[in-house]
Amino acid sequence: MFPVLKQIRRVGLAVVALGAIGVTGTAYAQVGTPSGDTISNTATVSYSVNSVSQTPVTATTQFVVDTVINLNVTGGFTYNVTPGALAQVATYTVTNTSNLASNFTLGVTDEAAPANDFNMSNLVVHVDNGDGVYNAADDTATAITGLGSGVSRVVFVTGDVPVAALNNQDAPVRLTATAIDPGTGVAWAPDAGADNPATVQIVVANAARNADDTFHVQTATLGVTKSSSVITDNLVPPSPNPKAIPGATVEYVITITNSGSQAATLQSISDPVPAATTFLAGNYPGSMDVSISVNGGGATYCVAEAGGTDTNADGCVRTGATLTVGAPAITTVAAGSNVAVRFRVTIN
Amino acid sequence: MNKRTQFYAFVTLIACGFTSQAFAQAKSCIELKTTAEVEKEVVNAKGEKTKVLAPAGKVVPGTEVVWTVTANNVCKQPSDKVVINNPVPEHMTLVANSAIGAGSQITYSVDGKSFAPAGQLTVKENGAERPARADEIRHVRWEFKNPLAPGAMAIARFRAVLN
Repeated sequence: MFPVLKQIRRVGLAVVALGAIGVTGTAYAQVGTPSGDTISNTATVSYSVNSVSQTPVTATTQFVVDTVINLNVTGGFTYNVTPGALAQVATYTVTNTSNLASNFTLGVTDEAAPANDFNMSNLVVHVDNGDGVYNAADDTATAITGLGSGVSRVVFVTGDVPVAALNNQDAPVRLTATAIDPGTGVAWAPDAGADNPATVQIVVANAARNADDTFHVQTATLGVTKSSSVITDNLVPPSPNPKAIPGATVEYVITITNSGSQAATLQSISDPVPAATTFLAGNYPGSMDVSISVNGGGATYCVAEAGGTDTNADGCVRTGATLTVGAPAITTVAAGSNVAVRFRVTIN
Repeated sequence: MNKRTQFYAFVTLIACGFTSQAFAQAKSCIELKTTAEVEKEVVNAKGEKTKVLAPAGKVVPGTEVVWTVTANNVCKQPSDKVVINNPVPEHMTLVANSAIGAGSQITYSVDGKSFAPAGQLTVKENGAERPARADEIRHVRWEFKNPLAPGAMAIARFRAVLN
């Protein structure tokens, strides 16, 4: 009955908006009345003349629902990473809140200083294939196509952490999604012309939006100090304040402190015995050669065999003048802890 | 357009086209028109901000539309018992208490059968009565108290937001 003279500009989309387009989206619920729908209003008046009831009269007017382009991008996650780690994954969600299906292009950037302590390198966008799990082999798309109204799509961004990044440094990474008109392949163009109730016109609420995820470095930060003290001058009787004279016993303490946020796994600590001294074996309780103490607590000991072979496999050995202490005598230094390695020498 | 199938069908005079006004044909004593407009803020010649009504063009979800119905008496006799009924269009939500119409008693309805003034319309939920929500109200009615004199115009208006 109504001459439906709609001139819908993007015919395919007006139809498509009513169907389930986002095949593998996380939620499907049309946002707002679909673009292209006709809204009709009918008023009826009833009345009498000279108390005689007359035939009611009706009047109708209508307009076509226009296209509104809008989207949401969410992120806000923080990922703890280690310096030098490759292909670390950040997750974002892009939701099409337009009232019809749209395509989206994606861009990823490091945020600028001062928010940014360092830049991730090799940032790559991977659109999720629908299973919500990052898999380099499956998630190969770099743009989103045919996302229906109200549908969300997960997007992964991978990046490499520079080796030089320091503990507690942050690298915010921004994902920007731009709504693209599938009919033209470029951003939706808002209708600048006069309002027309009979045609579907385009209103752009948001052409692009973005969200940040942050890579946060959590690593060990090691510091090493070395000190020495004269234990005894070995005179008979020993002096109360012994000095570093030939024959005196000197103790060296190597302290490894981890001021970082993660435990450090030590491979080995090596220290050449100083010139003009001779390694003093067996001077610790139980005739042990080296003392190891964590955070100033009770000591454990090991035997540092001369000749380069750790016969008893306790992790300590001397190769020539160099003392090496490793696993199992010392394995890790926990965050906020220190380990003190002590050995003694005799001044030649 | 579900109201089309009411028992008034034998005389409905329907507007054609997409202009914002629709006209009833001449045999009747009431000329009925309805328009869809949106309120726009404009800056007048003095630089003051004022609101004007303009034909509804770029309507998107969330847009508030002002629907106005005018009933013009084109006969030489007065028309009495003038009642305008307007169902709230599909996909739209009534703005609560937005209906106005000088000289009329305004009532609302959820089911199209029982009407009540604003604030008195209730629905039954879980066996108890509670006030109807704006999105549940699907009909607005204006009953004009006085006859409409020849040449006079009755105006009814309400607002609704596109879902």
